[in-house]
Amino acid sequence: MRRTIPITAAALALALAQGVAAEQRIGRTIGVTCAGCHGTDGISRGDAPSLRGKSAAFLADTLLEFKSGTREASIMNRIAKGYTDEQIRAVADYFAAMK
Amino acid sequence: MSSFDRRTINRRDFLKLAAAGGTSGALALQGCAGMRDTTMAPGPRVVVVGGGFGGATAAKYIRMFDPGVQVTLIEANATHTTCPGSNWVLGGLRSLESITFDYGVLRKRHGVEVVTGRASAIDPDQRKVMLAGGGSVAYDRLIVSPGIDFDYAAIEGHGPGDVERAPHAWQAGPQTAILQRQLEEMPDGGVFVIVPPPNPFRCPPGPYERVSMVAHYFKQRKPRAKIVILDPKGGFSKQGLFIQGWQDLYGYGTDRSLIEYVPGPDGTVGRVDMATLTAYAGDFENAVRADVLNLIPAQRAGAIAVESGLADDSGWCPVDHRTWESTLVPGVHVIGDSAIQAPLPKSGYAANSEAKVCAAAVVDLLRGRAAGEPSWVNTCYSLVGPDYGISVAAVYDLTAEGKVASVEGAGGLTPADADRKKEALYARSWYVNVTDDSFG
Repeated sequence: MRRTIPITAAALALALAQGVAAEQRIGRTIGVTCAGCHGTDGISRGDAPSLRGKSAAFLADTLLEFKSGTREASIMNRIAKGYTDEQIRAVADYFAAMK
Repeated sequence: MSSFDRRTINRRDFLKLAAAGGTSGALALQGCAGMRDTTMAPGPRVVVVGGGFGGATAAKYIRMFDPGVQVTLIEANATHTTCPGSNWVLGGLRSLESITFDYGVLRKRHGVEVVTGRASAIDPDQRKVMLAGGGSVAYDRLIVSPGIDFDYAAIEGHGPGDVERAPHAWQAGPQTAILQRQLEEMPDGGVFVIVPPPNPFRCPPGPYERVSMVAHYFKQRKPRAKIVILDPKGGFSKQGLFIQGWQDLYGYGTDRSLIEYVPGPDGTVGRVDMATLTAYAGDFENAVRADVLNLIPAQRAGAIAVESGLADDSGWCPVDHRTWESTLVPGVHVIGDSAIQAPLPKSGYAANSEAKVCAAAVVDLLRGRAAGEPSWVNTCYSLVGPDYGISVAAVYDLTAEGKVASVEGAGGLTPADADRKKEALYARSWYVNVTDDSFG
């Protein structure tokens, strides 16, 4: 029995690490699809806003408002409806983590 | 792994061994990370054939996802003139030079080896690409992104030799310049006839944006000229938005309309007379004489894809949408217009999005990992006038059956009440960023 505790802790740590890695991968997979309009790594060279380095809370809130329709846009309402709230948080974290 | 003499082990065998290990992913990663800094045993090599939106983006993003992977891009031309924006050139809004990109940034910033030459054949057993100028390039995985080729058989009297007399301008560059010159030389009061291709084809809204841009040019410079669309199809992409734009800007639907639209079957051109530039449309072969004839032929996958056995009977290339690996030739991935990709359209933005999914999957497979869950976006902007933009967008994911599908409830067209001027601003911003994301 004594042995099960560290193994469980290790398994938990591994599961957490895998969870973080999985979330980061989802964020990257979706994040790179944004780059066509918002620039590589979220650095826009046009009128579309840059996403890189914005806070995760700002990005997630804005996307969730686009999704619900409480914030109007010419195109982002149509796009944001394509993602779950979890996917939106993952992509927000992805751009927020770029400094 | 440390006991291996890296000078004597072949790269692919090393990867196989690494992938075959018990904790394959970690072992493969470790092994390859160790290899990155050595010139003795460089990382795995990916070859990309075709430097349009798909190929350029794939080359760039493989290097971004894993700088340990070597990437060689083989492209016949030293520069790429984008199809997006080429209608804006016809409308007089931009120069051809401003929509032309070279591969210097891919080479310098992203470390992509760029070979300017034509890939003539693929040897999937030896895993190498033959170059038309002689020699070959070996690959561990190959990405083929050759765009479209034309099928002239559908219209009698029309062949590949007629593309200067009746340009398609469906691969931007010299063809765009020919069409632009013909439009400039056309007398006021002349007739511009455009024959859009049957489905499926590159850039579904493209012929109708072209009509809009030529209408804009005529309105400024040749107000007595007319445009006739002889279309084999019964309808087209963003049709409602285009028609509304033509009503708003070009008198469409009135007796002073710049544009006459004849849908199929009445608009289906079965025969042309190149000597008189006359198109014969519909069951009764109604003759429509053109001063400028823009005949856009039916399309299929790029020649190298067809010749390499990557295309099926449809003329397009079936792929596994998770990895974009060919279902016909292992180790070879096909992206962009050549791939069977519906409901993703044959667009530059979709090719860019497919390229990133393919790049991530290729890196995963080379490193002995399973390919991750994909996600795609397409956004296409069209200008109906310089300050009048419209768009279509969609989000895509992978179904349980492994096919790409539109996410329900998302995507769609510019809303009826949306500000067209703002859409035009975003169309220009879209162009700047999608080209920079692909070629910059």
